[in-house]
Amino acid sequence: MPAAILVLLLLGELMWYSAPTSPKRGSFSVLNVIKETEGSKMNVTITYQFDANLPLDAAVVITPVTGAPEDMPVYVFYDADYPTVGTNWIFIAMLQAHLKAELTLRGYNAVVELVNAEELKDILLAGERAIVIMASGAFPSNVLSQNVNLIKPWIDSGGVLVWFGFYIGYYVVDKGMTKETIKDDDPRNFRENGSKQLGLDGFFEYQELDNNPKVAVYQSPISDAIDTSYDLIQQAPLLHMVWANNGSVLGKIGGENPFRFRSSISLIPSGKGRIVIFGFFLMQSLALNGPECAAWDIAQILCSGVLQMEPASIMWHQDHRLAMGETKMGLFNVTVSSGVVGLVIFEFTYEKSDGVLFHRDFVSVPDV
Amino acid sequence: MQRTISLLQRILDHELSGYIVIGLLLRMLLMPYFIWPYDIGAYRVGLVYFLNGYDPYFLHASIYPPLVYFLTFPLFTVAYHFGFSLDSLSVLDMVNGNSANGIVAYSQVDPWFLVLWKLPLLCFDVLTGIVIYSFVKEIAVDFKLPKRLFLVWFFNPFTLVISYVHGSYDILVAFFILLGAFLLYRGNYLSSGLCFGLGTLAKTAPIFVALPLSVILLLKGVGRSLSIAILKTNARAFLRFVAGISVCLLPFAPLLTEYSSLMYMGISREISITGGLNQWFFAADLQRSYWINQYVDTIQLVFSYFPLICIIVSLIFCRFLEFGQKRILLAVAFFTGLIYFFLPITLQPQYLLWVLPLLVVISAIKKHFLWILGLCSAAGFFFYLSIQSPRIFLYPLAMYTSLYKPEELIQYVSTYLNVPGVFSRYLRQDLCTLFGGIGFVGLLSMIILLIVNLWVTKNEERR
Repeated sequence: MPAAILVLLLLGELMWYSAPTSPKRGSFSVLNVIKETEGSKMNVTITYQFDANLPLDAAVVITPVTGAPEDMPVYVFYDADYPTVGTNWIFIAMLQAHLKAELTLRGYNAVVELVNAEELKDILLAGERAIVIMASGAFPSNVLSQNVNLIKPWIDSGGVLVWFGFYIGYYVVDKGMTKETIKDDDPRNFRENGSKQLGLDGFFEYQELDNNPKVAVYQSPISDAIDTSYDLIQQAPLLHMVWANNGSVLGKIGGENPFRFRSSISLIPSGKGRIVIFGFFLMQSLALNGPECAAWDIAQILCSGVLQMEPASIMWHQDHRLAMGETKMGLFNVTVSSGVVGLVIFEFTYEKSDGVLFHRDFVSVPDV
Repeated sequence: MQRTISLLQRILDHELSGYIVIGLLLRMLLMPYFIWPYDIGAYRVGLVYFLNGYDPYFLHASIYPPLVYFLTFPLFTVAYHFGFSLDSLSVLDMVNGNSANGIVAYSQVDPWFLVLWKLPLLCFDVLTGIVIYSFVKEIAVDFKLPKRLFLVWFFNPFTLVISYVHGSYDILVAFFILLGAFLLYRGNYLSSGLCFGLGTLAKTAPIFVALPLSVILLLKGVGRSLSIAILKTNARAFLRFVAGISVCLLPFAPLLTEYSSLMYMGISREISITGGLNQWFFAADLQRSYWINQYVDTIQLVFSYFPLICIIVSLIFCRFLEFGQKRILLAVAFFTGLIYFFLPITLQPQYLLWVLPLLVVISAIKKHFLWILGLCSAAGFFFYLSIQSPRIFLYPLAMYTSLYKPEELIQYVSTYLNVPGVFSRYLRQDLCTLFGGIGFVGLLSMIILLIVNLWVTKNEERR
């Protein structure tokens, strides 16, 4: 009996590896791009084609960008010599692992690495153009403290900070501290003044956490287009402040009244850089808002071109459902205004799709 | 034709056939409409990447070894040609349960996916029953015992819940360990090695049973009377056993290597204690996980020495015990039981299944193991139902039939998760601690009884 089972398995393995029976992924290609100038605007017609080998639930997103997209290195802060606040290092390690996988699938061409506090300091001091993800709930004191602020100048020079957890800048932790030694009234902490250190004064409503709304329920146009699903807003910035500062809503929207609306993922420009704030911590693995879900959302944000998009711009998107073996063509006819240097064409399959297929393209648009 | 009819007649006349039909109907009833929402997403994601030709380990899309994918890949590939699609999965909502700390996710999958996913589990479950029947027939004197013990296995609510409600494929591990023990008992070392190799392709645990067993095969009797003849016989048995394991593992080495490095990365960073054994041992208060994390280095050090500990124990066994067929069976159960105390960072209740078929068989020679079996099964069963309430399993039933409404279930589960407890903050924590404690007592008693029986058997042999 065991020999028969082994033979069955070997047949399965042979099927999976050998060309005639191995799984095929399908394809997506941009067939044609036609650009026509019309006064101060430009009409762009994009034709594309799908081939599905498994049933596909896919979307194509067109993002007008004011700067050419750039695959910047991604650094995830991970240093077990420092304590996390309200979360767990293992979730952060999982976030990095899953983000690396998600970006590989999308053809993102840059490193995705864990960095410790010293390496983080070096990156900030060197002014490296990069994406830094901080999901531990607190800044290490070697990059942000009462005497040092390496974060704000680095963002202003073009860095992108992705933040999860407590109000940004609220807690500062030293090397060797433990979770148990973190005290709210510790003089190291900036508390409510922390957001000021990042130029985000007035963005947050500081009150008892239980009084804050917890879950965002309304899709925003961008979350609908790029399928971000993180929906926690307990410590998210206020929506009207994000918009007032030329920011964008990348996640869902929730809250009790319009003046207290928040977005689960907010994009706030700062100098030449950006701050992306997730409205709460990473949750348990394999659950909604866990590392897998957050990695998907970050990968979608990095690959769809939204970081380079003007806040008032419109994204175009089309959904497609293809049966196994089906071929389908699609067309976009979009008008872009001055200032736009090109269009990011981003194709992705939804998480519910059987087929997995990602594609990225950039079409430059001559200045009109 | 005549032959086929006579074979069919013999099958239908078999004393188990009626029970198997009833058992199959019960299982088919459970297959399409019950899930454990927390894991079903993980099963599906790994499978999707595999079906698309991606290595699920490189993409961190799977925490399961490759056997399950090579079994299900041809099955799903065929199903696609009949119009099957996985795409009906959706995440409904997340219960705002303070006690669950956001862990409740409601992944929904099409009932057809559940049927296909659980189909291999059904095969291995039935095969396990048949092996139990055959094994007991060989070792028991009472001719009624094989059927009785088959029924104990086949209608055990805990094993039904694990395979057909949860959809966990720990039944594969249980089957391969049992069959490996059976073949070892019969002295068929190559096939036994194949079983432990196949088991390792389903989950890593069987290799940690095979390791001390191979030492026993090599050194049994050496401590008592060293002779070239014994050594030669032992070496032959050992080589066959190890060859069987290697034949299974080598063809899958590339994926297995990636899987191992993924697992190593997962456990080497920090122990996350939010369920399973850790909840059982250290109570359900999640805050205590911080205490355990302070000693993570020491715990990992002990865990990393587990293979060495097994080898030392097996050397002690070889020095003092004479290994006959029955003692080998007890040794397999002992080393399987030992895993629960050392190996998994998070011991999930479904892992209990690995040892249950062995306990069923051993109870044919030592009746008191039936109590251990009952204790572990009851603890595991009620632990399961207490984690997020029994209604957490009913989502497909609510989505695809009119028996329940999903909103009602969400409401019910939310309420359950927030019910205050008597000893800890929430009732669910109290219940998990209680049933976890009972399970722990069951496992500990099993280890003690196995050691006693290993020694008692020796004394009997001496007499």
